[in-house]
Formats: sequence, C-alpha cells, structure tokens
Amino acid sequence: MSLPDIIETDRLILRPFKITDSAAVLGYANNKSFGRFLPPVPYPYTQKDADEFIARRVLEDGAKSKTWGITLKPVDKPIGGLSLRFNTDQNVGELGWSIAEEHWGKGLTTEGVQALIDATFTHLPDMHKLRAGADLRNVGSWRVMEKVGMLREAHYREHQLIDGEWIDDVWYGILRSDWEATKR
Amino acid sequence: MTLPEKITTERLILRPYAFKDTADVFAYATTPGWKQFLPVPVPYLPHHAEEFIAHSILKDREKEMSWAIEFEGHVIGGLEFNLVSKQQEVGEFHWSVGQPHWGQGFVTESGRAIRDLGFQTIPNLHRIQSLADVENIGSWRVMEKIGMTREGMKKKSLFIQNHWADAYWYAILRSEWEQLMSDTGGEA
Repeated sequence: MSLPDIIETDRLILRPFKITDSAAVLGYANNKSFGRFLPPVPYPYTQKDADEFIARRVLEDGAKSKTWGITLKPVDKPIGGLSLRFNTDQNVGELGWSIAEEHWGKGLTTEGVQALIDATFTHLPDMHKLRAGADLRNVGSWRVMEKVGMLREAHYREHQLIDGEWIDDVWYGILRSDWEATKR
Repeated sequence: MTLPEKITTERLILRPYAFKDTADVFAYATTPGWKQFLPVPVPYLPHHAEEFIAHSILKDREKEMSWAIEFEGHVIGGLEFNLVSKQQEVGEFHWSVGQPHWGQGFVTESGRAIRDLGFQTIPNLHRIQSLADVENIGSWRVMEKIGMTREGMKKKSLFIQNHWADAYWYAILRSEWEQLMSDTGGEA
C-alpha cells in the first residue's frame, strides 16, 4: 500500500512538486510573513532556495517522507505544500504544511490536511497515529490541527530559540481510532 | 575556496546545471556512445536527468563543484571538480559529453580552464587527478592534452553497466602545472 500521488478535494488538487514549480515556490515563499513561524525557511527567499527545495523533492526518499504541492483548481500552480514524514516503522507520521499568505484564512489548509489525513489512514493500514507541531504564536496553524480533529498533547514551554527569543511549541495528534470515530 | 559558478572559455560557457537543462541532459545522456564508459543508469530515463540535476543543485560547492558545458545555447555535457581531501590538497575531475560532440576538444577546453582556475584559486591545491576506463581513449587523451601524466592502472575498479573495467589514473601536480605555464607562456 502506498499513498496516492494525486489527492483531490472540493477546491484543491494535491500533487507532487515538479521541476517547473520553482518560480511558483519563489513567488509565495519570498514573503516575510510566509516563513515567520517556519524556522528552516529563510528570508529573503531566493531562486536558489526555491531550486534547492525542488531538488530535495526530486530526490525525496518515499520511504521516509512524501510531499505534495497544494494547487487551487483549476490552476496547476502550487500555492503551498503539505508533507508527511514517517518514523522508521512507518506507523507514526508527522504532518507539515505551508501556504501562500494570500490564501490564509480561507480554510484551504484545513481542506488539504483533512484530505491527507483521510488518505493516509485509508491507504496505509499500519499507520497508527499522525502528529503535527507548531510555534504557539502560529495560531492559524494549530487552529487547522483542531479543525481536523487533532488533540493538543503537549505544550513545550520555551522550547526553541528563534532569533534570540525562546518560543513555546504545541504538539497535536490524532490516532487511527479517533479518525475512525469521526467517520462513523 | 571554491571556483566561480560561471566560467567562459573560447567556445563554451561553464555554468551551474538548472532544471531547464533536463531535456538537454536527457538528450546527451541517451546518445549511443555516452553510457559505454560511464557508471550510469541503463536505460537512462527522464527521471534520471531530473535526479542528476537535483544532485548537482544540492552539492556542497566547498567540496564538489559541477558545471554544465554549454555550447551554442545547449548543454552538451558536464564537468565535476571534487576536492577529495580535507584541506583541499587533492582535486579530482569527472566529465562527460554527448557523442555528437566528441573529438572537438570541448572537454579539453573545459578541463584546461578548470585546471588553471583550480591552481590559481585554491592555494592548498597540490594535485589534480582523474581516471577513465582504459578503453575510453578519448577521455584519457584529454588528460594527456591538459598535461596530466598516467600514474597507473587500477584493475577492475570501475563498475560499468554489467562488468568491472580497468581504469587508468592520471594526475598533474602544481609544480608540473607551473612548469607547463612557464614553458608555454600559459597557452597549454
């Protein structure tokens, strides 16, 4: 069993990043707000950063992680990304996402994340739990986690030093049994 | 120390690979002779070209430099220069060019440019070495043309498609390069 390359929702098509997506990635990622709560994302974000992001997608080891570009129908151009990273036994997964600032607050991330959770529990029978974490200040991100039925499991106080400031992290999780209960 | 990302020679532009080169890489990598002497995937598929370029983009240029060889607007091959020792004392060349562009001195022209820039730019660089399948006469002839000397043959050391090939190893030392430059007024 493996995850589909293409996941479709009402408004979105999630599909693998392509080598021609570099300009689109640069377009949304070179924005101070975009990466504010995403420590690995530099600002300013350059063409080279976008090319390296795409290069890592091209070389992604599907046994360790899988990444989809988020496209808004009917335009086949990424406005963000969703990823799933596996533990070694492939029974716990970690979700991650980012989306262009112009598309914040429309429920698009929630729609994409919900579809990815559904696809993961449907297509990977051994997957027991999915988790996700966010900077506590990134309210939009952990709101998504709550909307898709994840529960807050941890609040790590002053857990990361970012730009000289100690940041709290919150972690959420959803068990297969939680997910099945919502489907009944 | 690293060498420039973009280098212009008489006929060629050496510059970083980009994803827009995928079609050119696929084209030269599927010319009939290309795979004959190289440890490359056979058959060579479009995703191999994408992966090759992705690897090139993600290289740590402090250790591994690579250039696409561009001729008349198309990428016809590539050249790598890897610093294989910690203090950058030893550099190693790898190159390949599609068969239609063999025998026209393109690799010689590229290799000579990197050789000179290497010794000029990297103070610790003491030696540049390279290797080729003993059957790959075109490749080791390039090494000879750019002043490298055959140092030995490593038996069955290159795995190519389905067999172990013997490889000739060549090198040029900084002292030899300096001598060559003074003998030829920098034209070698």
